[in-house]
Amino acid sequence: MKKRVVITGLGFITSIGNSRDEVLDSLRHARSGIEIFPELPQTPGSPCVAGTIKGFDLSSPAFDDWTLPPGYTIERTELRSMCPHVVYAWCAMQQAIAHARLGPDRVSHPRTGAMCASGGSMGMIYDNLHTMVTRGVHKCYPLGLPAAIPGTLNSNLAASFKLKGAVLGFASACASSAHALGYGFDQISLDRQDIAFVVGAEDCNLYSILPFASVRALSVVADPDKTPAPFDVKRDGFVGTGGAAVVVLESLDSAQARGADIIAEVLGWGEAADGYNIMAPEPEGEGLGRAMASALADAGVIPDDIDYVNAHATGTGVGDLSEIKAIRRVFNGARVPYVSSTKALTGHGLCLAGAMEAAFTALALQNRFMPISAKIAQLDPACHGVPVLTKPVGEEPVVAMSNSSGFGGANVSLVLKRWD
Amino acid sequence: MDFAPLNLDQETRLRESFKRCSPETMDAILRFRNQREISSVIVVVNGVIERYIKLAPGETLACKPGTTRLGEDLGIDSLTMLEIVMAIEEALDFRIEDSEARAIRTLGDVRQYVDDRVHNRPVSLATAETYERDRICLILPQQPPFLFLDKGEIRGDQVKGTYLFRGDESFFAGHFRDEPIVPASIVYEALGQAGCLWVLEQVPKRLSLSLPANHVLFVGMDEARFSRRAKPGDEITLELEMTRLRAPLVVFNGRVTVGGQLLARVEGLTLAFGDINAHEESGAAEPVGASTSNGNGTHPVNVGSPSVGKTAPVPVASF
Repeated sequence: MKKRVVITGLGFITSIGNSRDEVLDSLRHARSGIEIFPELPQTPGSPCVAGTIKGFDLSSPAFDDWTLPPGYTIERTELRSMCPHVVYAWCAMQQAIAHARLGPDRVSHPRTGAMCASGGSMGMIYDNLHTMVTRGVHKCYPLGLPAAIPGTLNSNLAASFKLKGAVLGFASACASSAHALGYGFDQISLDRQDIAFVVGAEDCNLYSILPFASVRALSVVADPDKTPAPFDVKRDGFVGTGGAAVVVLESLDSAQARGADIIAEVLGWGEAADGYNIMAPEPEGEGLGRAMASALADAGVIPDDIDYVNAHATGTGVGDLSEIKAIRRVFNGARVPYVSSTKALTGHGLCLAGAMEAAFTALALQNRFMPISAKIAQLDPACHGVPVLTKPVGEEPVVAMSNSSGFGGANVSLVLKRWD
Repeated sequence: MDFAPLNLDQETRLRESFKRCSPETMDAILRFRNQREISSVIVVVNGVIERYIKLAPGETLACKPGTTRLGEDLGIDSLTMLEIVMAIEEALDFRIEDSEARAIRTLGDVRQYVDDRVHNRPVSLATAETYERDRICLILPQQPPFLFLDKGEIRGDQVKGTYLFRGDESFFAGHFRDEPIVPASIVYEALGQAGCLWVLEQVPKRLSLSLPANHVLFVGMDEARFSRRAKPGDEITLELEMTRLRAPLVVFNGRVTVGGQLLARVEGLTLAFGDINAHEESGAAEPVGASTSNGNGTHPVNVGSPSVGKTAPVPVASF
C-alpha cells in the first residue's frame, strides 16, 4: 500500500522574496524580482539583468566578509565550508523547518532525508583553481574544495542539520530539483522515509550566470520590466537567478499523527528523456509530453482534471514552443489547463527551478489563485489553443502540474493537489 | 639572511589578508617583513591566533599560561589550526611543515616553536629525546634496586619506557615462592617512574621552574586496571601521556604492554613536584585543569584549602 505524500513546509530565498509571505505577495501581484545586475558587464548586446537576491552580500571570496539579513547567524565553523548557494539553502531550511514545526529530533532522524540539487559553485571552483595555478595548492583554502563541488549542498546541510536519513544530490541540469522532488516522493510513498527536505539552490553571481551567454541562451534586453518574457513573440532568452527553495515532503500518516499543517498533496510524478540533443529540446516536446502523460498516470488523474500548469518555459525561442506543443498534445481532446511561467518574475534558477516552482504551485493551490505569465507584450501566435494566463482569472485551481526540463533533454512533471 | 623589504603591491595584499587582525599585529607583520625584527614574530603569531578564537574583552594570548591547550582550551580544531598555520606562513613568509604544526598542542609549544625558528635552531617539538639507563640514573631519584626503567623516550606530552624483568629482582622470592609473578604495585611503580622522568625533564622547560630537589610524589590514581600478569623474562613497555599540567601537579593516562598485549591501564595518575614539604603539610590536592575549553577562565588549584583544617600528611610513597 503506497503512502500518500503531502507538503508540510516551505522555505524561500528567491528574487521575489525571502519568505513565504513575500513570495506569495509577489506571485499574486506579478511583482518581478529582475533588476540591473552590476556584476554583469553592462555592455549593450550582453546580458545586464538578473533575478537578484536581496539582503545578502556574499560577493567577497572571503566568507568572513559575508553579510546575511538579520535573524540568520551561521557559526564560523559551519560557514567556512559553505558557498553562496549553501548559505541561501541554510536560511531557506530554517524557514521550512519552522513552517513545518519540526523539532531538532525530527530533523535529525534516520527517517528524515534530504534530496538536494545545485550545480556546485562555479565562482568558488574558479577561485580555488585560480589560486592553485597561480600561487600553489598549499595556498588554497582547505575547505575551498568541499565548499564548491556539486554535492556541497547535501554535504553541508547534512553536517549543519545533523541529517541522518537518505541524503543525496541530483544532476539533470534544470530538471535537477524536480527530480529531487520525484525521488523524495518515491522514498515516502514506498515507506522508506517519513520526511524529505527537497532543496534546490544556486549561486547568483557573475560566474553562475554569465557563462550561459556563450551558449547564446541569455536575454540581452536591458529593461528589467520587459525580460524574461516566456511565450512573448519577441522573447530572446532567459534571465539568470539563484537562491534556494525548500519543500518539506512528508507522509500523510506522519503529518496527521503530529497535527502538522498541510499545504498541498503531491499526487505523483513522471519523467522522460528527449534523446535528442545536448542543448536544444526536442522541437515537438516529445520527451516532456511523455513525462507529463506519465505524471498523470502516476497521479491517478486524467487530463481534464488539471486546472493549471506551471510551465518550465524560460523565455527561449525553441524551448517555450516545444513545451506548448507538448501541452497541446497531452491535453488534446480535453480541456486545456491555464498555463503560466513564473520565470518571468523570478528568472531561471537552473537547478533551483524545479523545487522553487513546485513550491510556488503549492502556494498558489493553497491560496486559490493562479499566477499569471508576466511581461507578455504580445503573445506568440504559436501558442494558439493553449490558454496562457496574461491576466488574472477568478478560477481557483484544485489540481496543478509543474514542469521542468534540462539540458540534454531531461524532463520531469509533477502533479499537485490542493489540500482542503 | 637575504631578504627584500616589501614592495607596495605585497604590502597592500598583506593588509587585505590581515584586515581582521589588530593594527598591532599588522604593524608587527610589517616590522618583521621589512626589518626582520625578531621580537615581532611572537606578536604576529599571537595576533593571528587571536583572530580565530573568542577571547574575553581585555584577554590576550600573551597573558595565558604555556599549558593552555590550543584544542581543548582555546577551541581550535584541526581545520582552524590549518587556517592559522596558513595565515602565519603568509604573514611571515616562511613555511611550517605539517609535522611541526601537528606537534604544537599548547601555547608553550607555540612559543617554543617560534623561539626555535627565529633563532634558527632545529625545531625541538617534533623530535624525541631518548634516555639510556645511565642517564636515567642521573635524572631520577629512584636508584637500583628500585629502578624499573631501562630506556626512556620523551616526545612532547608523551613518555615511553621499557623495563626487562630479569628474574633476580628481590621481590620475586616472596611473590610467589612457587611461581614468580611481577606484583601489580611494581608495574605501577614503573609507570610512575616513567612519569617522573617526564616531569624532571619537561616541567622545568615548560613552566620555567627549577626543581632543586628531584623528588616527585605520588598523589593518586583515578582508575587502575590490570589485564594480565608479567613474569621474569618479560619486557614491559610503558606509555604515558600527560593530560594536565599545572604546578604543582601533573596528570597522566597510561598503559603497559608486554609482547604487544595490554598488561595494565591507568587513568588520572597524578604526581606532585616542587616544594615537597609544602605538599606534605597541606594535604592531598585535587588536580584541576588549566582552563575549560569554553575559556571560562582558570580555576585555582586547591592546594591546602584552609577550610578543611589540618589533615594527615600524604604518605610519602615517593615515586
